[in-house]
Formats: sequence, C-alpha cells, structure tokens
Amino acid sequence: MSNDKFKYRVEIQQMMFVSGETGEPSAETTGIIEEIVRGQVIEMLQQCTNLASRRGSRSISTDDLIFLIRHDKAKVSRLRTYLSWKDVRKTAKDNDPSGGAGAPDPADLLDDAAAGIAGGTGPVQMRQKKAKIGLPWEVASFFSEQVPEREEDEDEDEVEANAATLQRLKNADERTRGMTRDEYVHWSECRQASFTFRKGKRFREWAGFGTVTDAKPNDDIVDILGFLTFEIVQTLTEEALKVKELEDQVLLESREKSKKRKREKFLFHAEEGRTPIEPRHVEEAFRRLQVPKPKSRAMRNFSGGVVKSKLTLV
Amino acid sequence: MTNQTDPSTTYNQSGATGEEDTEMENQTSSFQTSSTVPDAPGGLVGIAQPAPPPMPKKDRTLREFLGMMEEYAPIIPDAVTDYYLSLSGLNTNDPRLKRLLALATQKFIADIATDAYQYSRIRQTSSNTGGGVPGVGALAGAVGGIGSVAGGAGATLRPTARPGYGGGGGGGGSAGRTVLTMEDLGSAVGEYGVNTRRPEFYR
Repeated sequence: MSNDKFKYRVEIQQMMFVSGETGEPSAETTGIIEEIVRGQVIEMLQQCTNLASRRGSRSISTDDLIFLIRHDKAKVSRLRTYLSWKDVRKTAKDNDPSGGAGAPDPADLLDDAAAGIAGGTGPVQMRQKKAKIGLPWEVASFFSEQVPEREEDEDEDEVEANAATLQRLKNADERTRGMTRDEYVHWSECRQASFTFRKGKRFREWAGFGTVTDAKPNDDIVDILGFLTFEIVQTLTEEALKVKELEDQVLLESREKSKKRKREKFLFHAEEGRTPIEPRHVEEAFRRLQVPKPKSRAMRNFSGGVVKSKLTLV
Repeated sequence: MTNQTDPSTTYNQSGATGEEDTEMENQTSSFQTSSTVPDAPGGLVGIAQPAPPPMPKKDRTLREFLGMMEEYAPIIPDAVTDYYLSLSGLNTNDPRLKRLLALATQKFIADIATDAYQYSRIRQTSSNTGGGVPGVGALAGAVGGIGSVAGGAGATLRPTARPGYGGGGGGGGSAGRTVLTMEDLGSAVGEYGVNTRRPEFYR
C-alpha cells in the first residue's frame, strides 16, 4: 500500500477521534474509509450532474447536492444551519474587514451551528431564523406567500432533526469533560479536520472534478461536500464502533468460558487495552449502511434476490 | 389460502374486544391527518376537528391507530379495496384491516407522486435564466436562495429528455402548469427499486 495513494490519513484519523474512536487506527483502516468516502463523493457528483443535465445546466448547483440528501431531514437541517452560519460569518467579515482573518473556519461553524441548535437565543440567532434558505422542493416553496413564522416554531420534525445533533453534542461534552487542557487543545484541533478546508485543490483532484463533473465547482459546493464527507466519516466510525463492540463482547464471552480452565484472574490482572477499529469493522459498518431500505423493496413485494442497486448515500 | 384466512379471524376477535377502546378514542382525539397522510389532497374534509394531540406520533399504539381508522375513509373506496383483496386471496370482515391496507396504498402512491413532483421542481428551478417558464420561474426565483448561485453558468444546454425514459417534460409550452412526466416519475420510482427505463435497443 503506497503512501501516495491515500491523501487524507491525518484528517480521517482526527475525524475518527472526534467521532469516538480513541485508539489509533491503522493505515489500512483510514485507507478503506478514504476509499468509501471517495466513492460516495463521486456518486454524489454523478447524481448531481444527472440532475443538472436534466435541468439543462452543465454545472451543478448546491440545490442538486441538497436534493440528494433530502430524505434525511436531520442532515438537511444540520447542513442548512451550517450554511446559514457560514453566511453570517461572511457578512460579518464583510462588515468588519479588520476582524476577519481569512475564510470562516469550518470547525467553528460546526460549533456555532451546534450552539444555535442547543438553544442560544442571541439576537444573531433570531435574525438567522428569519433568513432561512428555501429549498425548491419543499412544500413551503410551492406558494409565493410565506407562512408567517410563529414564536414557538419548534415543530416535531425539527425536534426530531435536532435530536441526533444534540446527542452528538452530549457525547462530545461527556468526552471533553474529563480532559486536561492539553487534551482539549488536541481535541479542538481534531475538530477542525476537514477534507476541503484550505485544501480545495487537493480535494478537487482527489474527488475527480473535471472527469466526473464540471471542473470548477463554486465554493459553496466544496463547502457542502466538506460537511458531508465529515458526516460520512462520522457515521461510518460510529457504526464501526458498534460493530466492534459487538465483536468484543462475543470475544470476551468466549474467552471467559475457555479461560476458566486455563488460569485464574488475579487482582492485578493485566487488562488488554482497547484495540482500534480494523478494516473488517469498517467493511461491516459499510455493509450495514448499504442494506437496502424497506422503501426500495416495497414494490418488489419484499422479495429477496439480488438487486442491482445504486450506491446508497450514507 | 388457509393461512391467509387465519389473521382475519384473529382480527375479528380482537376487533370485538377493541370496540370499547375505539369509542373512547373517538371521544378523546380525532384523526390527525398530517401524521399519516401528508400529501393527500382531498377526502379529509369532514374530520378537521381541532383536537389537541395528546402525545407525539411515535407513541401511538396499533390499537389506537386502528381506532382512528374507524372513522377515517381512505381515498381508495372500500369496494375497490375489497375487490383487490379478494383478487389476491384475502378474505376478511374487519373493515379496519381493509382500511389500513387502503391507507398504506394511498400513502405509497402519495409518496411516489410527491417524489415525482420534487424531481420536477428541481428540474425546473434556476433554469429560468433562459426565460423558459415564467410562472415557475418567478416562484423559483423568489425562493431559489442559494440555488441561484450556480444557475446562470450553463444555461446554453437545452433541457432534454433523458435517454431511456419516456417523454421528457420540456416545460416550455404550458406556463406555470406542472405536468407529471414519465421522466420525473421514472426517477422517483427508481428510488423505490423499480426500473422504468426502456431496454437499450429501443433508444
């Protein structure tokens, strides 16, 4: 396995660390994750290009990209929050040229977006709620009149969409609680890991812009892809951790059965440390995420059989 | 055949015991249309009583749900449901079960229709830079938001039907009117695991 093939080892490691993996994953693991992410990105770009060509346009738009994940309401909501905070940063930087030090930092954006969900009711957030991004396929956009916003507009969908985000925040909070200062600095560094941030050129080459789709996507698309790639790595890692946990459990049980005869456990018995996620866990996690949804099997009367299906977007 | 009649009898038995529950349900809560059929345009007129939903959607039990079904008639007429159920060999006297099946069918169709409409929307938004569809264009321009960023670049390419699907809605002629085209429906139904593409040699 050549080192040149995989370009995002460090970033993926950091993302996995943020997503709950404490050990140091091997190069094979990050390599396989990188390949999966790349496959997903290319699939997304292809589908986007199809949508754009249906529309008669050669270049893909951000709407195409969001359209692909429209069934995942939680993810769309997170993405919208992310994008709206990016806008806030941009306008704030335009208004205050001395304060801005370069492009908005994606990790900060994630934090801000999370803070916005968690219920900070500053004036900025209130303003932001008003300037919601309309998506052309949502019911609200079928009409030229907008429904006036209510005060307590936390409807059930939104609550549901935010539940996953809040859970992630809670997990992160619990993990960071016991950290020392240095550890926390490391953690916050890891949170800034991104496939795209300040690596636009590398990302474009890596994802095959130019061959798969238009060679010059605008910055918004790259930003959205950066967000989505992080989500993919996070989902994969979380799923792989579940797989590994199950495997460890089985292993422990079987070992306890066999161990009883061999040797006894001492008081200061050396416990084996946590092992990192291995490629097989990632593969199994990916398989689980690719299992066809019941929705896509309904028309076939829930029969089995091999279906040549598209790659499911994680 | 035999094992398909078994559930009907069990449902009848449970239906007899469930009567009191359903009556109580009818008093406390009316059927919440938005919770089950988000896209049904009609047929829900008579039951629009504003009743405060006591608990979130997910916590309803099947029994409560069936109780609600008692007074809700799906768009698909009962006779049609009966016909198709008997055609596929299911013999039951429980109207709630039939209506549940009818409702599931309705939801399924509504979902596909919604998806097709969404595909049509994404196809028509921000292609309005060429001045093709005024009605939709104005609407899309109002709500386009971020979509209008990348729209203007490649408007030279004409919207054409995708090869392999039927007629592609050009969207040029009928201003402001959305027509369900085979192209959109094909894409929507593709998500449900159905391939509507013609075989290669017909292209």
